[in-house]
Amino acid sequence: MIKYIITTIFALVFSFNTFANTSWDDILNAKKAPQNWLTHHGSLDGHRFSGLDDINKKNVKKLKVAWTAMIGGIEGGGIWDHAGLEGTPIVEDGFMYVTDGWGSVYKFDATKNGKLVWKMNPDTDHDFPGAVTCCGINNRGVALIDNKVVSHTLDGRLIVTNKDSGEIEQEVQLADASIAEVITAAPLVVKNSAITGVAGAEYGIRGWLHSTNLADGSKNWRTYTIPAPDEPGGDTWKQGPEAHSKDAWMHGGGSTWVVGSYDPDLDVIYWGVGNPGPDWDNEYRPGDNLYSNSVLALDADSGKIKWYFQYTPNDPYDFDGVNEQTLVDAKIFGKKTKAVLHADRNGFAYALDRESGKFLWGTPFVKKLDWTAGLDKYTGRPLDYDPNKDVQRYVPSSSAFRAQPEATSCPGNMGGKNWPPTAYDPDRNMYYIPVIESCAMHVNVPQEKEWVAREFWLGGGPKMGPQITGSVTAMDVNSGKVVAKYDMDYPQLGGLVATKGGLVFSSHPDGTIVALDSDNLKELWAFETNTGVNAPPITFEAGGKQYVAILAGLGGAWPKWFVGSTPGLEKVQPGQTLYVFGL
Amino acid sequence: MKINIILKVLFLVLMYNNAYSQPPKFDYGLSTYKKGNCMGCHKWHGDGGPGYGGAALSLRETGLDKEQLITIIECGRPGTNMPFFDKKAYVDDRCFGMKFSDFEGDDKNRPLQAKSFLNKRQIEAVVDFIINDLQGQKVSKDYCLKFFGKPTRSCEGL
Ligand code: HEC
Repeated sequence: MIKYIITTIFALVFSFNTFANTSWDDILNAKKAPQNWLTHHGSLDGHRFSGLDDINKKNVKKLKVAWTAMIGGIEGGGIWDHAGLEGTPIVEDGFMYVTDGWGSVYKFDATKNGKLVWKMNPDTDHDFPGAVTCCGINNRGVALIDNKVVSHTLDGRLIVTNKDSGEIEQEVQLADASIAEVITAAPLVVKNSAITGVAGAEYGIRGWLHSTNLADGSKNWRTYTIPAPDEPGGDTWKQGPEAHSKDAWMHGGGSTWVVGSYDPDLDVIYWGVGNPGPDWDNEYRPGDNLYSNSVLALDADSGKIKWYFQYTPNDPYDFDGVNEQTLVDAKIFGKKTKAVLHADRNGFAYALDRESGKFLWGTPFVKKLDWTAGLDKYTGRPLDYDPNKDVQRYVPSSSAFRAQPEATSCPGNMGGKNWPPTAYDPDRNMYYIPVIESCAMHVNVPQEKEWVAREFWLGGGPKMGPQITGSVTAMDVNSGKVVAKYDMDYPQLGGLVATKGGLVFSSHPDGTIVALDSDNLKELWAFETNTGVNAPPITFEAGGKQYVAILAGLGGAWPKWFVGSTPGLEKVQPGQTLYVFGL
Repeated sequence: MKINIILKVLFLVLMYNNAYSQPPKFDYGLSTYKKGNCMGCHKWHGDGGPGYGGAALSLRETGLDKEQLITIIECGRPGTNMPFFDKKAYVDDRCFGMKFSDFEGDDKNRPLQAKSFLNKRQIEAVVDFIINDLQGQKVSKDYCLKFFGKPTRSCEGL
């Protein structure tokens, strides 16, 4: 009888739980519930580390497909002939939420082999934003809070959907496609607000972060990443040779298209800021061009900038600093430190003190880096940065400028590392980086023409150089040293997850999904999807069993513009599939 | 009898009207322009300009004739980002008498392979499209509607 009562209570609690709202506490404590994958990076610190270890080094060889789901949204729009999948699935209490490139949200029941619970289609305008998105029809996922699923659309909206019914409850127009602002990043929910980042630096937008009050859709704050002339940092945008460049800051870029991280103790949001525009003509915009290519530490309630650190001042390479920020409480040089890690397009990984922004270490994670001799030990500035000059050349043979319109740098404009996320294993104090091992040519075309809405604002462009390969690279956070590399024929374009089982899950852009040994990056398991993979894997538990999930669907910028440097990748076909693996 | 004729006329008028309101006719050249990712670099409007694909020239302002257009599409323009679309280019010597082996070690001038190859029929169709719809013409609303196949905000203000 007692047993019966206990079972009933247990069943009641359990069933109640499956309909529970996502509280802010749940999100703060996401790591204590590893059966879920509750936020974009698994936890607000950006680790992409799962405490699950049922799938581990010993048994991963037996991993096989548990279920799959074909999702829609493959159609093209604007200049894109198909959409792709770059999203991170979110899992809570056995339900999975994924997005397709056009921002439809799918809720699957992972305890019932992926039965579709509902689909929310936000009717995203295809051609208008699709004509001006630089790098594919992408949407990187949702965020949960209360009874809401919060998501973005390429045409610039924040959408709040009822978690149970799939009905849209609220829409807020945040980005303006008529000036080429689009949204591809997942939202970051902090308390009762959603923080939105914007894309469009290649079209000369002025980047921003926007905080929306989820209670009523009103604006909490909007912080521009490019200061106005009378604001701090405004003097880092000086006039160039063209008269219209006096307004360079208005089209200075600095987009925020990768979701940031949050430290609840400091109440600070960390968010990477993208490249300055025009990308390849830094003579147009003399000065350091704050806060392009920087990490911003912002007060969560006011959006005020507390400190910043700039990776590549007055950038001539398109070394977009937008990549994710990973908050670690880790031993650095033997001392327990509250740090923020970041692997930049420019080929350096950085550790900064996350309370003060002070530079701790910076090391190349790529095999070849030739645009500067290294970073200053104290300031973290590139050694070839010249504080007496407004226009930087760095290593002159690596940067294109008006008197030398072509030059080759390593890494090239795509990085280093692009948006696909890193993973951090706290047990090993190891930082895993998905790497594009590249060199590329830069071409400067002076930005003589004034800014026009929805036209490229590039001041040149990249040109295909030598063949590009890739790797997964492991870095010891204590020392900032590279300790292992898993070499790849093609760049890593999907991102990573690390697990307590001693595994790092990764992918190849031609469709192979792999599990690597966390200690030495040896390949332990592989599966062929035979389509493009450019989305990060995650792991979760449903019905008491651990699974690994990943979206497979060719997308992003690579297939359109960079396949010339990765022969063979042009054969990869579009597709739209969710794969879920189990033992 | 008369009624029959009237009906016939009415029918024809309706047919005509119907045809008129149909979406723009399928154009194999335009579809190839999209399939070949010409629009990725030369843009939907064909005017080119700087981009991630490099500084693509305007196909509206191009002075090339039919033969020259065919050649550059088949062979690309080594040393620039204009890729080659002929499967056999640089495999045999059909392009400027050159082969891949002639470019070994020269990353700067290496011919770039297109995302997808085009066959003879497709190349001729896209060349006809350039000559009929782009060359020497300004971007128009009609062109815009034809490109997108339906009304879109991109065509407003043209
Ligand atoms: C990866 C980018 C890219 C793609 C894709 C591309 N082009 Fe080009 N194209 C260029 C560039 C860059 C140039 C300019 C080359 C130069 O500087 O001489 C060019 C030049 C041309 C020219 C020569 C114009 C002139 O006046 O000399 C033609 C014609 C042309 N492209 C047609 C096409 C067609 C048709 C397609 C699709 C089947 C296509 N291109 C696809 C980048 C591209």
